[in-house]
Amino acid sequence: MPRRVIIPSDLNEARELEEQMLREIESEGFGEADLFAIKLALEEGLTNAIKHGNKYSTDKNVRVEYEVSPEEVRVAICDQGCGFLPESVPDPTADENLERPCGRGLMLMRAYMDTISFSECGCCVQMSKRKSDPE
Amino acid sequence: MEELVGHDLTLRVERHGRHVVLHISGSAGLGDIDGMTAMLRRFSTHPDTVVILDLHDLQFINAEGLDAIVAQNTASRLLSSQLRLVSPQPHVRHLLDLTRLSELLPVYGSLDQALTDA
Repeated sequence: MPRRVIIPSDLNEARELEEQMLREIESEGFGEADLFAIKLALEEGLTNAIKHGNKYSTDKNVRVEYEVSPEEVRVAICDQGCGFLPESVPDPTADENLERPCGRGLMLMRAYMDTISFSECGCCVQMSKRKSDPE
Repeated sequence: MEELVGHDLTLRVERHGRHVVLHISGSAGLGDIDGMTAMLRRFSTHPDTVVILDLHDLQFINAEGLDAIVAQNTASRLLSSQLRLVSPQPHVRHLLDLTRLSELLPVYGSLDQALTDA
């Protein structure tokens, strides 16, 4: 059964939720590399929702649904913003974008998680990661 | 000695002549990036300075943290200064490689190398 948590558009609240989720994930035996990857993806998802989606509005919330099993972590993060087109985000590793001080979060989520998808409106991101073999 | 202590992040500043070494330890993540960015910006206003980010004790950095380093690098170059990275841990090194920032910025294996390189 997935857990559902609603937090205000506040990075400190997001950090507390992230810490709680990572403790649960670690208790299911996920290793250091998986924890690094999931923490990175959570930070990008939560930051995008609060900063770019809700624009720090105190009137808007972020909804997080997650499910942790011994085999896999599944997370959905939804904001109340206007959404965006993921395909419109330029490749931050292209030569012409290397010095741009933005735009790496989405690329890192894709690189570190096994699956990632967006709702049609672009307000929700769903992602998952299976537990890696022992290092 | 100047020091910034955040939730999970500590920045400690050491000066060696025209070199400024920022020892960054802990986790550069949610809630700590603004403080790190402000600290980095302070040194982007000094011309002819070599700013060295010692990443040996940095366990985690998110995309905003990487963006702050990129912005610092651009600001430094405009003032004929330099930004150098030292001793990233494997997970952080992988991030630098994946984002190609290890091609944009010089990454040294030790602090001594970064201090003595011309």
